Amino acid sequence: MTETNFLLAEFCRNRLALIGAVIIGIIVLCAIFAPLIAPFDPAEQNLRERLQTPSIQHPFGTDDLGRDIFSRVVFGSRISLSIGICVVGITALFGTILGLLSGYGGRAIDEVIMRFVDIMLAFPSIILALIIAGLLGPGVVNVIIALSLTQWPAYTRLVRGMTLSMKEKEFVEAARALGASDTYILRKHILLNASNPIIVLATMDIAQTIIFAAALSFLGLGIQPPTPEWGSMLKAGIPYLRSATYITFFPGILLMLTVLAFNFIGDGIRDTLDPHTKEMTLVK
Amino acid sequence: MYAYIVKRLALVFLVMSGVTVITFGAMYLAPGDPAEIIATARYGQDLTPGQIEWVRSTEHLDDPVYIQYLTWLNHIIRLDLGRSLITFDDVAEEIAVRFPTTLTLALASLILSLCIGIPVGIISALHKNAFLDYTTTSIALLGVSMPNFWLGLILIWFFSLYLRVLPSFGSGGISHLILPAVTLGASMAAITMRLMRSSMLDVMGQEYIATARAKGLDKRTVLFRHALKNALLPVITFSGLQLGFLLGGTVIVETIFAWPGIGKLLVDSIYARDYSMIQGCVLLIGLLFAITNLAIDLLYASIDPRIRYDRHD
Repeated sequence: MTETNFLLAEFCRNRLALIGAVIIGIIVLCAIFAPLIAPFDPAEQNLRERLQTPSIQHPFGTDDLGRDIFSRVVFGSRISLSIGICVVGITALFGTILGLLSGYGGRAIDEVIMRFVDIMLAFPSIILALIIAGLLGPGVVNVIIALSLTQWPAYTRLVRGMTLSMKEKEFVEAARALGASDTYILRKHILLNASNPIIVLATMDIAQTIIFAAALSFLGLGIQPPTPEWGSMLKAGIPYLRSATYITFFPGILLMLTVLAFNFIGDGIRDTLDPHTKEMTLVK
Repeated sequence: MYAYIVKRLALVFLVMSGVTVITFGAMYLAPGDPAEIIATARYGQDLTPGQIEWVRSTEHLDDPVYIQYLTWLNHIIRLDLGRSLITFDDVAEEIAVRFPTTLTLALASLILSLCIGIPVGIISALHKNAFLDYTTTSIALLGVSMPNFWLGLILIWFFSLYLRVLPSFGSGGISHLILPAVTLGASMAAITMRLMRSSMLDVMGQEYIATARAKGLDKRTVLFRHALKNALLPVITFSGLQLGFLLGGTVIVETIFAWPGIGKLLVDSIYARDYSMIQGCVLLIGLLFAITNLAIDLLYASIDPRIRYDRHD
């Protein structure tokens, strides 16, 4: 308990991380209480009030169909956050399992899994996601499938590396000598020690996933209107870029703030959990 | 060294075989009958069963899957990527026309990001924890977090619509290249800057730097002769590895700016479900990526002998 308190205090001392946590907190609350916060129905069209500049009634203005952009941005946070969390949950779980198998399961299994990882990494992952999403067709579930199928190798590589170095350590040998089973060693020793870098990777990965999902929707291959989603809102604003810049401005700002906040938190967690890598950069 | 090269080449061969399987297999992800999808793409919604059957037999879609794969593989080995399912253009020819345009954009972004990222990273490292350092690192973090499609739209709004000084779409002279290159290069410049900063700080903390200073060399000589050379190495290697990142980015940037390269070709082919064109683009990207990685690995192994023994064990 004292250790948790200590780490929490350390994390809070990092101002940027704290700002990030506050921003994410606000956005999560917005997503949960969207129907209470949004003044209008995000899908409700009102052609009489189309393309209105930001005002007290419509803080972010209205789009070409007279929908309130503020309400759409608020509801859009639900989609972006749930896709980010779902995809990272799925990929972290399966990527970690494959990494443990690869690092602990012997040479043959390792060879098969790692060569598969090599093949997956032979494409920029956004391109593979784009093709899968394009072939499956639009929709939230298909975006999650496309991103999950392409984002896992980072976890496998990370966990495999940790497992390989960890299983030679004395405490693992000691546990084995005491008769601990493989699953016990994997769970209690290796996974527990590998969990810090996994958490850091996952936090930063949420940011990456949210950008990718918005990019797919921006290209028209992800979430389609009328569902409020930040990327597809940006796309819908392009024809009005000159006359009504606020249509593209606000969803973009929210997207950037969310991503920035997750990056702040990721940096903060890493610095807190592992002070040695304080100077390490955000490079995957 | 030879053993390492052979091992590495074998891996490239394996990866490329895998790439062909994925490229070919992706087509079967699409729900529905491939013959019907191709026929719809080609002739529109009102299909007769005859048209579907005709597509099925002319495209050999009634053969078993592995026969189809082997036939296809046999063609692509001879660089015959087939014809577009929709326009009947030769895929290899179309890609050959588009590729230099993408390469121009990617190289321009790479050069831009290095020209910004390296000097700013050095300055930031030299003023560690000062106001200048905080400002530049904050801007860099903003750059990493900014989605490039949003940055692109904002740049179009400001420079093409508001100031009207730069064109917002198409390719032509240098003026057409500026906005797409900045959009694509911005986040990479930010990453390069962060990497350069930490690499510089790392090197400046080494003992040989203190030794050089102690023997009376002036600050400038130490900085440029001793520190910079060593600090640049990881940055340059990383830039090579970023080719994939750039190729991924071109898909979005080329679409925003209607830049007629491979990325836009790929996206347009996905919209049209033009499978042979998609396969051609993906194969090219996979091949480019594999070759760059191979080149970097070999370069690295020739510089640093430890790598030859340490990796792939």
